[in-house]
This record gives sequence, structure tokens and C-alpha cells, in this order.
Amino acid sequence: MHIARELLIRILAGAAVLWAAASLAFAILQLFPSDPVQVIYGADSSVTPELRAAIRADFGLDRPVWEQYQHFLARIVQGDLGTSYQQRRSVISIIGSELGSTLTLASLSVLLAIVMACLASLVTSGRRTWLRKALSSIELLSVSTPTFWIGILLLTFFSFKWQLFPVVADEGWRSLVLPVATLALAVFGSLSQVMREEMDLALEQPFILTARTRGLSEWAVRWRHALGHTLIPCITISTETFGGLLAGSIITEQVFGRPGLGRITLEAINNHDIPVVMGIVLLVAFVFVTLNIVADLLYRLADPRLRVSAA
Amino acid sequence: MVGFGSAAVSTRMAGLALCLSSAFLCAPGVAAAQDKPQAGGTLRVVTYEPLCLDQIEGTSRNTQTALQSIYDRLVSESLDGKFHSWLASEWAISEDQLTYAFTIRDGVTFHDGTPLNAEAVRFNLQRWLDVKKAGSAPVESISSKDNVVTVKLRKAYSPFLHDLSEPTLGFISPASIQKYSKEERCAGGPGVTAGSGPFKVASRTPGRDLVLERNDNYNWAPADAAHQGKAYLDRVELRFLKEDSVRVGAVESNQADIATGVPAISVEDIKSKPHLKLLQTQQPGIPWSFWLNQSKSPLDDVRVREALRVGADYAGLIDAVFLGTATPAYAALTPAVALGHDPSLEKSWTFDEKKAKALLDEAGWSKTDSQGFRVKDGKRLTLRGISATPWSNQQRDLYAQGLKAAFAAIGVDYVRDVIDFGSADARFKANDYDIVDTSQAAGEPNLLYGAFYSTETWDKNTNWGFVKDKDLDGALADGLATTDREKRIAAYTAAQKIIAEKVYLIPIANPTVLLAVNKKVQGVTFGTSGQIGSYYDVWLSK
Repeated sequence: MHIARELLIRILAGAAVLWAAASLAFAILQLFPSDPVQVIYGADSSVTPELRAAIRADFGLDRPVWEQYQHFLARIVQGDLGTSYQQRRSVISIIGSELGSTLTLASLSVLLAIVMACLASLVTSGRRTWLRKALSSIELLSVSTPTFWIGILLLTFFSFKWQLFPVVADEGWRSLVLPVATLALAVFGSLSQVMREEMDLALEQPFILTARTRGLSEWAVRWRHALGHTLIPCITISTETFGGLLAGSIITEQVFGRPGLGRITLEAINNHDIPVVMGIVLLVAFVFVTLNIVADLLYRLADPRLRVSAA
Repeated sequence: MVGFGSAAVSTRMAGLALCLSSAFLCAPGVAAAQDKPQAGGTLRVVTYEPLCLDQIEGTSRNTQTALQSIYDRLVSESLDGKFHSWLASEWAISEDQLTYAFTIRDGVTFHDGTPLNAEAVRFNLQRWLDVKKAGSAPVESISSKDNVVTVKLRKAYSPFLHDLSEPTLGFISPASIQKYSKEERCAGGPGVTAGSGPFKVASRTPGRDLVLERNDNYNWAPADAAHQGKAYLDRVELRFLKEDSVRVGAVESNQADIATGVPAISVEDIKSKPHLKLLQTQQPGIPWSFWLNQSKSPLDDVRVREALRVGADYAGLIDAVFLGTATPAYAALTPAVALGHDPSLEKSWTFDEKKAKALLDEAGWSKTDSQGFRVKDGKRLTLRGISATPWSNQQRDLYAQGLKAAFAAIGVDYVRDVIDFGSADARFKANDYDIVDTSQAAGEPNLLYGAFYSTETWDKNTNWGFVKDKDLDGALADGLATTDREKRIAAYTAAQKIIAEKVYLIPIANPTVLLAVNKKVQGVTFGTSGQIGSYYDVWLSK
């Protein structure tokens, strides 16, 4: 019962967040100095005043702002995000056609980053070895290097120089390796730092000592007992990063010429393609709201104490 | 009626003419006319992405460039500014320049099998008129009868044939327009995208690639093409990569055969690769220039404008910044505009700091403030420049920084904002700028009309300088009123002289378009807007 009620409250709160995001985005875009007509028609060309008026009427831009806002909200509730100024396609279909590619990239990258970070903290926490030092340096490097640069470096060596993975041809998984590696490296740094810290702390806890006295091997202690304690920060960081990657893989998608939400976000912002920008704002708000709910549920799985207190 | 027959230029001659007119194209060692073109193979191009495959719905230069092998046009314009028959086997222009009658060639079919006849042409032109108001062409009516399409204009408009030859006006099957929604046509795909060109769409993945395959029925190439019949290549794969360095890396590592949009910094690198050649052509149009806002102080004073023109070493900076990928500009049309560029303006001014300072003193800007900038009536001599993001690039940004230093040396405070297009539009509207810097691309001298005719201000065209000059208006109107080549050249030469004399524009650099091309690729040409030409004549040597 409790869970159901809590979930309902969360969903309502999520809806409020979505409404606020939509309204805020609408308000900000109203403040933009740009004339959408020029965008709709294309920056290369000049527009006659008659054509301007015709386009305005076509997209409902000649109506008062309040009316545009009402119309905008009504459409969203009906699941209609409008039509792109630039591509003349519905925003839903644009997002739909790009979502798959981004989802694949984002989930594989986060998954790879989690696996790498888990391994790194299992192997190196609580020890002062050369391996720990080496991994720490890699983490630091990955956190402080722009994704763009990681991508270009990986391309330069693995695609241009040694020709192991293509950037032009579409060869299934081989085309995915470099972009996934780029994003995973970027995520790995911070994830691994936090997880090792947590594991360091966990390894000093009394229950670890108890486990050791029971004669468990070092590996079993880490795998079965300590790793669980790193899951909460791991869930927090991964869900947040995953959400961010959905719209935030702009650079990676641009460098590798991959279709995806990041690419259309960048294009939409550059071209002031307002309906697409709005659609993406709403999508990202939706994704974060959902991920937060999912993360809360996952916390309960990861930490039994949360289950007890909620019941 | 003045008639134009179909110009039957032999293919060998056309190839030769191209070599002579742009010496850049024919680098020594590149296989020339004696090699026999071979059919077959796949060409891999890394380039920019078109937004919408129905170009009347959505347009950008990228769209037009990528799609010109899919759609055919009425007439073809060669780089020398002459017109050749294509889908129109011949045409006639009435004495009063108001009626154009095009005879449509027989036996042409769209990719979906429907015939491309006079009615289909009329349908397409009508759509251009309805959706795009026919650009800036004053079209009154379009009609078709038998195999003739007649277009009536409200007033004489000499660039009409040029407009018809532009990639935007490629014809789409009327059946496909009726069958598919706007959205489906923009997304495009095999079957949906139906032109009549030498290549048809095999597949499209937005954000990734567009694959074209040969149209084996093709037998209606433009008269100035290097060959007739179907195209040589089996397939053309256009792969969209936005990053300059990645496109260059792709041709260097042999993952692609052609890279467009090569940045200046990669030129040496490409030249050092034995399997690559660098093709370059000068961009036809208006050079990268300063449009000077004469509607208000300080640039309403011709002495200040002249001081700006001689107060910096423009030519010297070009060599330093553009690394050989641009030449100093003096005329308002680049040398690549065969019809109209005025070569007599070359080097008609030189760097003269003393003269610049004297002119500014004379104009009343003789005092200086604590930072060394000139002042008049308590106001600093500040020039606020704007450029839109798509108009600028690394070299132009760098060059503008150099100019800022040079202008500071004569006491002028130059500020340049590079902003998105929408914001630039707002600044135009508010008349909140002194200088606009950009270049314009088109092989048509009437560009000057849009950029300088007194009524063509920012709200409908590109006279950002608010130039209002009776003589200039007269010359531009003369150029618009006749299709006679010599008369047009005379009119635009006069216009460029006025623009130079009154300093309405400071031309800076004639931009170059660069392609990195694998040496096995032959027959690459450039279009009249400086874009890479159609893939129709391209072939791969084994």
C-alpha cells in the first residue's frame, strides 16, 4: 500500500515537473530575439514580407502569446509535440527515429562504464599498489579530458591509423566500438572514483572483519560483502549519467557522425528549431523524472534497510 | 522572339573548356582526357547532411548539393555563365523579356516510371511559385501546352535562367507529391524520392548516410556534360560527418574517396598524402566582405569608410591567415563570376596608414581618449560588427582579430560579435550594427541587386548597409532588364565601380572551395555556386 501511494505521489510530482519544464522552456523561447520565420525558410535565402506573413499564419505565430501557450499545452497533453520548422516532420517522429540509436549508445556506454568501474574498485580498493595508482591516473585523465578529445584520439589511432574500426562504413558492432568506448571512458572516471571510495569505507567496517574471521577469501569478502555497499552511489551516478547521455551525447554523436538525439538537439538549437528544442526539453524532463523513480526502486533492491523503513 | 538552339558541344571540347577556365582543376599528373572513362564502382563521399529531401519544402545549400544528382533541371549553366539545354531541348525569350517558352524534351521519365512532360514541369514550377513565391523571380503565370511550358514574368528579370538552373529547382515526380505526405517526402527514401536524375535513392538513414544507385534509364544529360547516356558509377554513398578533422581523416585513411568542406589547416597534410589530390576552385559570388552600415554615424561618412579600407593591410593578413586558400578581393564580385567580375579594380587601393589617419582627422575624429581610440563629441569611434555563426569560420575569426589590432593602430575600436542567425536578424531589425561580414555564393552577378539595391534592405534581402544610390540602382536595374550578355557585363562592371568608388563594401577575401579527392576518382567538377558538381561524370580508374 505504502509503495503504491508513494509511487502515485511521485508520478504526480513528475507531472508537475514536466509542466514546469514545458512552461519554462516556452517562456525562455519567447524571450529569444530571433524571428522563427527566417529559420523556417532557411538562412540561405531572403524572405519577402508576403512570404513572412504566410509562414507566420501557417505556424500560428501570428496569434497572441497566451493563445500560443494554451495551444501548446493542449497539444502536449494530446501527445502532439508539433512540427519541426526545419525538417517539416513531426517532432514525435523525429525523436522516435533518433531515440533507438541514442539508447543503444547510452546504455552500452553506461553498462561498460559500470563493469569497468566495478572491476577497478574490486581489484584496487583498500590496497596501495601500482595498479591502484595507474587506475587512479586513468580515472583522473578521463574526468579531466573533454569527450570530444577522447573521441578524436580514439579515431586517430584506432580508425585512421590502424584501421581497426570504421568511421565511414556501417559494420554493425564494429562501428559501435569507438563511440561506446569514448562515452564509457568519460563516465568511467567519476564512477570508479566514487565506487572505490565507498568500498574503501566498507572494507573498514566491522562486518567485513567478521566475514574475514569466518575464513572467507579476500575476493569473496569484496565480491559478496563490500561491493553491495558501492551500489547506492553507483545507481545514483549511473541513472543520472544515463539520463544526461540521452540528450548529452551531442559531442560523441557529432564526432562519429551517428544519428541520435544529441545531433538533432544541437541542430535544433543552432537553427532555433523551437518545436524540436521543446520536444527534447520535455523528453529529457520525462526521462529524469522516470529515472529518479526507477532509481528509488533500485535503492530498495540494493539496500534492504530501505525496504524495512518503507514498510 | 530570339531563339537559342541546343548547343551541341562535343564532350571533348566541354572537358577542355573546363580545364582552361579554372586552371586549378587540372593539376599536373591527374589523368586527363586521354584516359577512357570506366563504368562501375562505388564512390564514397564524406560531406554534410541535407535536411529535407524535398527541396521545395526545406532548403539549405547542403540539401541542394547532395541532391543535384537525383533531380534534373530545365537548363544547365556552365562555369562561364552560359546556358545549355537539359530537360528543355530549346527555349525562346520574347523581345520584351517577359515571356519564356521552354520546349520539353521527349522520352524523359521519373524514377517512379511516370513521364516527365510539359505538364510535370508546369506542376513543379507552379509549386515553386506557390510555396516559395518563386524566390525573387517576378513570375506571373505558368502554363503548358503540348510539349511547351510558358512562363510569363511581371517584369524583366535576367537571372531567370540561372534560377532555373539552380539545384533547388530540380523536378520531382508530381505523382510522388500527390501520393506521399510532406513528412514522407522530407524523410525520403527509395520509391518516395522520385526525381529524373542519373542517380536514384537506394536508402537513407537520417543522421548517417544517403545511398544513391545508378538510374539505368538515364539518357537526358545536359548538353554541357562530359558524356551522354547513363552515369559511370554504380553507387554513390554519401556519409554525413560534421567534424572537419574526421572527414579529412576518413579520406586520408582511405575510408572515403572524397571529402567536402576541407579546412585550410588540413591543406598541407592532404598534399603530403600520395594517394590524395586537392581540388580547389574560387567561390563565385560576393567575396568575404564588410557591408558598411551607412544609415548612421560613423560610417555614413565616406571618409571614415575609405579610412577603414586603406587603414589595414588586408592583403598581407590574408596570406598569414588563410594559408593560401583565399586571395585578396577588390571587386564586389569574385573573379569566379565569369559574367561580370571587374578585373580593373584589382589592387585599386593599398595599405596606407598615414592616409587613413588623415582621413579620420579630416572627418572630425581627431581627438583620442585615454585608451588611444579616436573620439568626436565625446563619443568613441567604435564599430560594432556582426556575423552569423554559419557565415564565419576559424580563419575568418582569426582574420577579424588581426583587423581589430590593425584598426586599433589607427584609433578605431572594432568589436565583432559572431551570433546565431536569429539574433543577427534581431540586430538588423534594431539597426544595431555598423558592419556585417559574410560572403555570398552564386554564379550570378544579380547578387549585387539583393545586396545593394536601395529597397532590398534586411527585411527582405541583404542590403545591410542601407545603400541608397541612384546611379547604383540604375546600373543594377539595367543588369536586371536584359539577358544580353555584353550589356549585362557592362551594367555590373559599372555597379562594381560605383561600389568601390563610394566604399559601400570592403571586399576582403575571395574564398576557395576545397575538396580532398582520392587520385583514382576522375571527372569531379564544381557547380556554379562553388559546390561540388553532379556525380554524373565522375568515374573511378582501376
